[in-house]
Amino acid sequence: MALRVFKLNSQLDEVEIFDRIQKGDEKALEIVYKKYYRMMTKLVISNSGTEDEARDVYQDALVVFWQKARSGNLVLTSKMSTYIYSICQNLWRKELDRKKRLSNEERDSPDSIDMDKPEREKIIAHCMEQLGETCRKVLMYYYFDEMSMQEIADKLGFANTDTAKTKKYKCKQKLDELVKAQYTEQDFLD
Amino acid sequence: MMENFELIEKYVVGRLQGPEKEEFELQLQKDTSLQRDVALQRQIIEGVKNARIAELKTMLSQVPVTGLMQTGVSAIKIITGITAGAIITASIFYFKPSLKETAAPVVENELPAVQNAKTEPDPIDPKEDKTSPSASEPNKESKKKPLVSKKQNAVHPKIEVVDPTHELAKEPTHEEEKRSKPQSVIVTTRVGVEINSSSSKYSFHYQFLQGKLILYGIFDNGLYEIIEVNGDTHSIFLYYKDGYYLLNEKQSAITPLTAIKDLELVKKLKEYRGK
Repeated sequence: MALRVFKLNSQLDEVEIFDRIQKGDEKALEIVYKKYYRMMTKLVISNSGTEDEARDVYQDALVVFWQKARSGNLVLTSKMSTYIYSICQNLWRKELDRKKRLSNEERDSPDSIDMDKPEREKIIAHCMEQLGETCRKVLMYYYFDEMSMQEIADKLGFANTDTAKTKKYKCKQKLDELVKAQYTEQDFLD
Repeated sequence: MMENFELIEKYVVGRLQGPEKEEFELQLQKDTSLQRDVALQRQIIEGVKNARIAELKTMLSQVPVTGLMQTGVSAIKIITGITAGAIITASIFYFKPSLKETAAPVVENELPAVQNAKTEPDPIDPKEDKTSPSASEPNKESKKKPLVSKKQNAVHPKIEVVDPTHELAKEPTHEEEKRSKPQSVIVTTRVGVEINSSSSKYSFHYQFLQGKLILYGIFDNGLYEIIEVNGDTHSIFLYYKDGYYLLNEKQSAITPLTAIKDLELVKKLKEYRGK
């Protein structure tokens, strides 16, 4: 009987944690990360992965989970851990496939990799670092977390949504300028 | 210009719908300049997303976790605890033969990972809790500690300096026991120490990064001491403001510093510091 009561409480907690994640509470994500670390990394380690790979896969899975939860379209029909576990499984399968493909490609056609892509990614990452902390956050919250202007204003303490909107526009413009200044003509086309 | 910028952005993030989207795509087929702008925006927005992913992953990497290799198996926890005790006892054995009969102090409750589990109780999944019962009742455990130590006294009257981690990791090194010339037990620390007092998140924590000890918090420079103990295994302690802290050299994650409560062990460390 006592176990039942405890389980009920834990389910309530899970609902609360999920609710907090949906609202963009990063602390709640940290709690989930810590809670299921062993369970999720074990999946990779016991399937020919290293501990580093396991951690990487688990972190990627939580990022996916975060983004889905934040989008507001995710309705949990199973336990949160079951859902995250399935993301880990899929990601690890993909990674194993990628490794397999890569070893085959190395044998067959060694120069089929786009060498410019990582370079362009580096340029943009560098430009992001050059932006101020607020600008970076505004852009990341808008494009990745898909926060509304109201949410961005609340989270970053802006006076209203107009301020958030102007800030986002200016920050994006600044980023575009920085990137354009570093790109060569060839980089503009995929 | 603003309109064009918004239109491109809407298209790239998938918010352009219906006839507006069709019209845009028609124009896109004809206009190479627009194609270039769209490609650039795609890359930039992808870059922003990647930056956020990297930020979230960095945040998660700093969460102290109980990994499989760290304290995943309770048996390893016990072994590690006993080992820590054995190291100290070994030091006493070499350094002060008159203390031979002192029992090996068990410092299991000082393991950082166990402490971590304790600091953030989170009953999401009861199944998980079953796997780490030691973390759920930390106070009871520490209260019982003196009794356990006494029992160990009774069961092991002779001090045997055994380091079980050697059996797990390397070949057994029994020659070490035969060494006629014991190595220096306490040495001046060679561990590089760095103080990070700028973190608002970590006020009294530590981690080892590339062999360097990083202390998080407002440490008064010069008022802390790092004590290295060379038994069969190398062990490091921090002394700060009358408290002693066991530092796990393999701890690469940022971990709270937790004072050693085992009075016997603290007494021995005090003796070492006095020398």
